[in-house]
Amino acid sequence: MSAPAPRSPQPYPDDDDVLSLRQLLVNWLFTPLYLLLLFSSIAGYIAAMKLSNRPYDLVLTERANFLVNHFQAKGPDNRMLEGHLPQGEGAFLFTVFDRSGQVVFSNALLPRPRPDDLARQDSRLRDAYFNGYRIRLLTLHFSALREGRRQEYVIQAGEAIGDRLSLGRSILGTIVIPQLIFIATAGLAVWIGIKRGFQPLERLRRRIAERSRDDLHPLDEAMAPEEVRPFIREINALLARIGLMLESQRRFVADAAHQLRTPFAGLKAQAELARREKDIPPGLHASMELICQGAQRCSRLVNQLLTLARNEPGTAAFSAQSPIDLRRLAHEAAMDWGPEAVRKGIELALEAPEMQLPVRGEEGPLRDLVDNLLDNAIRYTPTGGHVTVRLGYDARAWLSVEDDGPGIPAALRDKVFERFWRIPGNAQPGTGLGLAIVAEVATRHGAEIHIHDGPNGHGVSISVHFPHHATVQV
Amino acid sequence: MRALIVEDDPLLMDSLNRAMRAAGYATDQAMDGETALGLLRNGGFDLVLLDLGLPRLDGLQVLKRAREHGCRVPVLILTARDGVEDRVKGLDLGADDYLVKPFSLAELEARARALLRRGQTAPPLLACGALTYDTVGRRATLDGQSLELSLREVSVLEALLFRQGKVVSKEQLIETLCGYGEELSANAIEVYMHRLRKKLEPGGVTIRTLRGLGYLMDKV
Repeated sequence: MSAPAPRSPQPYPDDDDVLSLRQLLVNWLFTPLYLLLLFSSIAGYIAAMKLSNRPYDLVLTERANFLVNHFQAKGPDNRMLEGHLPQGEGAFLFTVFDRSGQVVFSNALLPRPRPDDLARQDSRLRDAYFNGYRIRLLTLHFSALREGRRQEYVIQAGEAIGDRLSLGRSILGTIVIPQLIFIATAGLAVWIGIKRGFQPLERLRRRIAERSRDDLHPLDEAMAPEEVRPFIREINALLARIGLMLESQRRFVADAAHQLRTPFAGLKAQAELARREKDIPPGLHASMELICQGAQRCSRLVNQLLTLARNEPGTAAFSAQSPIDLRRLAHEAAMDWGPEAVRKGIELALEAPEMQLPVRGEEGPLRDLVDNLLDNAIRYTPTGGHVTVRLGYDARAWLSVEDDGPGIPAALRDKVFERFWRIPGNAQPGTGLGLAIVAEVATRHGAEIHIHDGPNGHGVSISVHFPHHATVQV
Repeated sequence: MRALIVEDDPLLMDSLNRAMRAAGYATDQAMDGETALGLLRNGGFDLVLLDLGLPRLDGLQVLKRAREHGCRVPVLILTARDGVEDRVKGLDLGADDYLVKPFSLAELEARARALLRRGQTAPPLLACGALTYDTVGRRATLDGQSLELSLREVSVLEALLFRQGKVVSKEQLIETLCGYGEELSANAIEVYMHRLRKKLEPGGVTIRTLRGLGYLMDKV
């Protein structure tokens, strides 16, 4: 039915009882059902045998009485019997014994009556074996006038049980076959019932699986069956706790970054003031320059931390889902980075089709994404290099920023999106957060990031493909 | 020029104070909101640098009450908060400009100058290296020599000079020029750029093309 549930590393007590409710239900419903079938079949068989014996026993008794009458009137005279008693397969067999156990009249040598049969005076019917065949055997006591004296006799009368068996079987068939059908139908109904019973759980699972990565909203209790609602409540409580934890962690980073801004502003301003002094020794001037750069780097780190905190999972969902023109946004961002590129002697260009490229998302974070891609490209591309922003639409809107700088070795490309990770040996000042921000924003928008070699195998090209649903059809 | 600096961090206060004095302002200082409000009510300032996170009275409250009191002095907010909502709130309450910490002193000085200039007429003369441009007479000179420019060329030059050191997109240029009621193609812009470049080249002023983005005027 379904794939086996992954076993928890901590074994539960009664492991097997817990693992599959379906299995549990099947066991508890089908076992009694099969026992019921077995019991009713046995009961049916016994009933069928009893029922089928009754008419044959009457006939057997009647024939025995006929023979007794015959014997009483005529004595052991075989001739008169022909034509009155059945021969062949359903043959009527009889043996008459006198009190001493001597056979006085017979057409077959049936076993002598058992001592307990002799002790009793009534007639008795039982099953027995004769020459290896199962027969029905009647033991009857009677008396007859023989040679002027009333003498006691015992007659053993028997017949093969073939007819009875076939009657019994047909009775059994009419009882058991409908019963089998009934049990099979019941089993099928139980199976379907169990399957259907679990469908709400499966639906619930799908709806939970469909939720987006950052969605910590409580699950809707109404979509779960009543029995599962307590679990939903507990899961919601857990989600709320996770939300609070994420929120407090995010707020801590934001607050810390925030609180650092004022002292950094002071430090930076002091260093700038000192650097402006004309009559300080050159060595001290160099130190001031380094302090300025350090303060600058710290400021950037603080700003990047704040940006990251804003875009982390668990932060409030998009406030606006209105379409944003990716082309306009990228154009504005690239224009703002233009002067920095010119200052570094890098040729910055934009290649985009003359059309809007609307994507669903948030302006601020998307701008953070483009800014950080451009910042990275311009920062690591040496003078004389090229940085190109490309945009396009092929079923999905995409954006790429490529440069012909030093590039990123293929083996390290998975790591560049990790926080605070920087390419070993990199001398450029950087925070190691830029691409982490890009990754967070992309993930928030459900976009895919790919890193490829830049043009002619130089540098690197980082592309972001927005998902189909984020692209408004144009 | 008299400036009031409202900031509770002593290190930053000291640097702001020294920077403003060096830039030729007389300064008063307030380390908390209530002191700042008291000083503002007395008046006499040309510019206020206002921090938002202040003890005793929040910076936004200081601004709100000062404005209610009829204080019209230009206010430049210095803040560690960069949320768009905070910015909008500050500007709604009557702030004139907004600077997010940490900022460079050069930027602070430029914003302060811009605020003091606000309300006055735009500076009549724009310059870029050897190029000067008279916005009133719409005449340009290069190294003191008058430049022969068509009306369209003047408009393009003006647009680039107003956004000197920044990228001006073709769309922005077309918008500026289409005030004349005509359609203008992107190719036409390129023609004007070509002519302007030729005329400005001798003075060491360049117009850079950023492919797909726009143009940037710069001195070499």
